[in-house]
Amino acid sequence: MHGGLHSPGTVAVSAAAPLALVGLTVAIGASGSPSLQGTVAIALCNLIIVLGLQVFIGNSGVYSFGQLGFAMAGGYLAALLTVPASFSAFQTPGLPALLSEAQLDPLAATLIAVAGSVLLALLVGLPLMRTSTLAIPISTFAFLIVAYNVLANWDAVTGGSGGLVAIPTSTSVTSAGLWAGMAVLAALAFKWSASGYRLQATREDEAAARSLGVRLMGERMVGFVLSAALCGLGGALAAQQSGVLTPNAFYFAATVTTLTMLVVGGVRSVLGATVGALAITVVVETLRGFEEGHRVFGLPSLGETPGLAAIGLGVILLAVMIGRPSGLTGGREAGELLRRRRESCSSSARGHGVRLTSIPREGAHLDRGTKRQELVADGVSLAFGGLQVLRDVSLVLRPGERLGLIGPNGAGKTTLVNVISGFQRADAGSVYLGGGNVSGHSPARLARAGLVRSFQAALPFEQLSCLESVAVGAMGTGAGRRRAVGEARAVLTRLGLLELSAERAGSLPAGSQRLLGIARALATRPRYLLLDEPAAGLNDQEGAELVEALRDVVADFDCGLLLIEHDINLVTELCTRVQVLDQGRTVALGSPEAVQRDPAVIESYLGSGYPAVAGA
Amino acid sequence: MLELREVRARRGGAEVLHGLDLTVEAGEVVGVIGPNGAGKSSLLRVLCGLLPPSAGSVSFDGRDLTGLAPEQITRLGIAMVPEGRQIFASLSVAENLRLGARGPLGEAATAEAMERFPILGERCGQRAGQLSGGEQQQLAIARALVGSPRLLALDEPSMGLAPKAIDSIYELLDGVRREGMTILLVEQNVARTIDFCERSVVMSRGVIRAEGERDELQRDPALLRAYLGRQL
Repeated sequence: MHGGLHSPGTVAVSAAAPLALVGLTVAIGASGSPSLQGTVAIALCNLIIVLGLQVFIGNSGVYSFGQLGFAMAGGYLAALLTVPASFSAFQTPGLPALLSEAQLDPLAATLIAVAGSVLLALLVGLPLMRTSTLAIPISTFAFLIVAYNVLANWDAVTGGSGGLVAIPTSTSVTSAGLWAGMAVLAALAFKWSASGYRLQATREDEAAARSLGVRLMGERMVGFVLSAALCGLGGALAAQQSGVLTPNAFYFAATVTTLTMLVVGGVRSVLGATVGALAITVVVETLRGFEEGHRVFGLPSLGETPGLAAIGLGVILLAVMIGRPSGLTGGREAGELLRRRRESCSSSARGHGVRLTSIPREGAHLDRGTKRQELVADGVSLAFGGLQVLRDVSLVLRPGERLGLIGPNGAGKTTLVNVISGFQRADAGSVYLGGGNVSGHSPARLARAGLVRSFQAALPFEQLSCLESVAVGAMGTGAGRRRAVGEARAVLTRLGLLELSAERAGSLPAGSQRLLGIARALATRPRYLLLDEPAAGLNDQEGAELVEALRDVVADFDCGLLLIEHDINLVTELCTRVQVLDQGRTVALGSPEAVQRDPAVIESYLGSGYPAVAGA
Repeated sequence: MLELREVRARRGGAEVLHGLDLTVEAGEVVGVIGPNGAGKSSLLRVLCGLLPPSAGSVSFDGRDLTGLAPEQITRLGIAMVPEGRQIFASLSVAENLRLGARGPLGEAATAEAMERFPILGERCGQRAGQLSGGEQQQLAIARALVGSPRLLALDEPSMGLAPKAIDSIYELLDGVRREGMTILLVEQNVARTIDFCERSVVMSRGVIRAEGERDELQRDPALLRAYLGRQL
């Protein structure tokens, strides 16, 4: 079901493991005493909520403290839609007749509750997802507080802080288990969808993801809404399990508990959410037994020890954070854990390393029929504080051309690329792409228009595999998963990285990570590719091999290339024109040979020792 | 002075050093070259305690370094100039230097460094992030030197620098070498490394495949070519 990014075996095992845990839980619960059945059913509802948290937090890497607000919404909606009219009359006298007289069947009420949570998430998410990565935890927390206070104080409609009673109890262990199984599949399907990968890319590196065309806010919104749907579902089922509902059911304590479950299990994986939710439930319920002075598992009673369960939760969280900071599962799915195990047994003497020379040429011809025109920066100026970094710099890059941009450190080369690629706004001047003025457009929008850049630092998507990293490049500019995988393979083949497909990007040596960055950018099918020091960290011979590969790739992909590079030999080899910046100004522009003879360039950039050293 | 014996290390599940032997004598200047992914950076990470070896031993002046934390190793006299410079961009030049110095003599050492590196002295109040790449690299080296190390390990000091800036970095390192500092230099710039170091070792796939003195290596480019390009 997941075209090529994982082997079918990995997919099957990754889905089967959490489903088996859910199945086991249902089997234990269904055969137990009524009180055990209740505990298990609630645990399964909590699991659905934790899966909801995983969908947003795990994939976006941004903590939200507000998702339980959607569980409140789902719970209250389901309750109000099912409570018999006779109870509604005194519990919630201010409720509109449409709701108070409705007495829907449980399934309809649950579905409407989920839909309501989704609507609320759309409403709340639009402003919240606009806030910065650091502000989202706080702003979502604010939402939770508002949601609670509305429910606790709008007595006539919600029953106030006393809550609601007489909710028909329809959630059984089996039905909660079925829903939990579907939630597991939904969370996995999202994680492995093109949208899920784009969101994970923003988690790994915001700037790199945006440079590939990923719309940060839009992707976060998708994860936020799906997360709200699952939280709303969990809340609705829980309300219909216990029959009573107070605003406190999904407030601080529940937020802390569910987040602890997720973190202990491993935020990044669906298996982690499942393991965390179920393991913590077992431990907390056991400790609660002790706390109330019961004998548990035949162990002697401790007498009444209030607070034991909460202390236990804290100790577990601490222990996991110290011993296994990425959670019990390490944030991996079951299939990935299994594959890792097999590999670590057979991984001896595996060398990475760049192999650029023996590249097959077939299979990578990407046809782009669009009409192309020049990329132009016109009179760009920019100052940081008092420091004038760019002074009226213009640059023209023609379709299919290879232009070198050189100059001393601090000359403004990277800043110019930042301006052209939308990462930095210029004080003056404009950027034109294909004849249209694109000044001030976001990096994602420019990437979708065919203007893509790489970074000086490799900015790898550390937790993604090489294949996934490059596929995100294609997905960022709109490709579906299947096409993205095809393009990723073609690009990896061209750069000699195909054999590293399954490796985690974070585990590659620095030079290969840089190549991977170029591969990622190429997978977007750029019309213009801006590379910032692609050969840094490669030795002379590897640099020469990179030149060959770039020359071929750029010709095949038919894109214009802007190359910032200090290795003058490499620039001479690859570029047809060279532009030299010094102190924010263009000081020379011409053929590589002419530029190298320019006295101003020798003075400011190459140094008087040139060419003795560079030719060595 | 520095002795690595049969060192093995793993990164991300895979072994990256497969039994590496390396000896550096006091006052010696040794270069490490090799293709991307050969294990050069891993070697330096093992040396300064960021990557604990899974087998083998690392000793410095007869003292076993295995199991020591990075800060303990620094205190024993090994200073590292990391790849990508890693200066504290939002702190001033002077603050960066002060953080490299230790103990009651820190202030004096900082002042001395600013005399020795005039550009840093001129810019002592500026935020380090505002320096040019070459100046930042100078700062990274100066920050390593103010701790009065006995071994200076450098990871790709020329990376991302313009040719002229590379010249001035190597001039500076030449001065450090003349003072008798023991230096271990990891560099992608092969010609530079061989020229600068008395002896260079060639790494590939996690072990040292060849080594030679400056003259030998300069006379025998075939030896280098065999190891530096495609992986064997």
